[in-house]
Amino acid sequence: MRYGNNPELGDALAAQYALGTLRGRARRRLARLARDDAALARAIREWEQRLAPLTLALPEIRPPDRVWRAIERRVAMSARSSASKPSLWGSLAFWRGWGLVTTGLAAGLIGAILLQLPEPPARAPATVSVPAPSRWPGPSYVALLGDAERKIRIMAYVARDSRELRFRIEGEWPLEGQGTYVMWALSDHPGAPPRAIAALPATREGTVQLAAVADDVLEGFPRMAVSLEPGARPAIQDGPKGPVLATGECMKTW
Amino acid sequence: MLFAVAIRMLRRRDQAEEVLQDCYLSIWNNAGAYSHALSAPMTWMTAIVRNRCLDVLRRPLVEVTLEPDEDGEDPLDKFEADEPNPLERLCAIADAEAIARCLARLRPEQRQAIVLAFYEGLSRWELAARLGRPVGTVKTWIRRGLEQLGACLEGT
Repeated sequence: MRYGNNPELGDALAAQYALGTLRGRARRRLARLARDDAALARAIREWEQRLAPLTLALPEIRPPDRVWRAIERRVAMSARSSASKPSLWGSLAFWRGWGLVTTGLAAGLIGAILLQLPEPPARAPATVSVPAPSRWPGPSYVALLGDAERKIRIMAYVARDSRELRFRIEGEWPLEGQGTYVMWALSDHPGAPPRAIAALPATREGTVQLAAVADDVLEGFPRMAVSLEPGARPAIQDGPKGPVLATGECMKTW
Repeated sequence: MLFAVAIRMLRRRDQAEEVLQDCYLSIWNNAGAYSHALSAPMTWMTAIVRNRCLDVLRRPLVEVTLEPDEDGEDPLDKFEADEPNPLERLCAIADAEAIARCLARLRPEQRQAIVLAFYEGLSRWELAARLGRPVGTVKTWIRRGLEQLGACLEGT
């Protein structure tokens, strides 16, 4: 049965699915139907989105460290078992270098999205060393930026109380050598200008210094963008002037 | 935040930790199915955690004693202190302003049923038992409440 000819019923069921009162067989059946019914799937997502702000009322509770350690172990195991064709993303060195990827939920998601990209670049990764975090860096800002054509994905993270923002790209830096890649934080206040937070070297990964600790720089800036600004020392006071190469959300992992 | 969602629904720290682990793995394995166009990452992850909690809630209940946390605190204490109603906190949060306002427009029994279902993962039968009303009545509260909530949120 499809709900395409009865959108009201579909919407009502989607609402109860998202709320959680649709249970048991009925719940599983609706989930199955939504796989083939794009309108129904969209209705469920919309209701999840509508109800999601309710979670903001919950107190912040940090999971104990043993949870992160267990997740790290399990992700490492699943990465090993699926590494039948070795790739940059499946290699243990990659995961070791990106300890956060295996410990942070948001970062885990982002690592996994990168993992799904069709082919790792043919040329060897540049030898920019990213010091491996020796421990879970704690509550962090994590951003995943991309463009519509999926030519470039940029992942960046910085601990709340740190000035060191680490980034890694998948794909190719476009228009290399034609200017400076500038990372911007975009405010949630309408009309507020973007804030330039760092110039990124055209490397596959690296660490850049923010002007202050992340909480001071990124609080209230839920999105980020990277643009190509003209010249080696671009004027950044008035917002991006060059092409915007990638945009995305900046999430908090706490 | 995700851990808080799981603890609130399950009221068992050991199960909440297990759910969080499972969800990481699930998100890990299903990230290819995630689409920016459909929902924000946090909404997507919250939905995965809530779905997993609902699965766990279907299992028969086994009572165990909660051990204190590594830092000696029981996270459930935070919820006991937080009782009875997280809605009061909602009003103070800018991003939740619309849903707080729209919930406030519902009839009290509709609002209570929806809020209990969301935070505690109660089924219609459990809600009926908790609220001392027939299950058919509770069903109607939820259906009409969600309808009005959706219309109100769309209108904002």
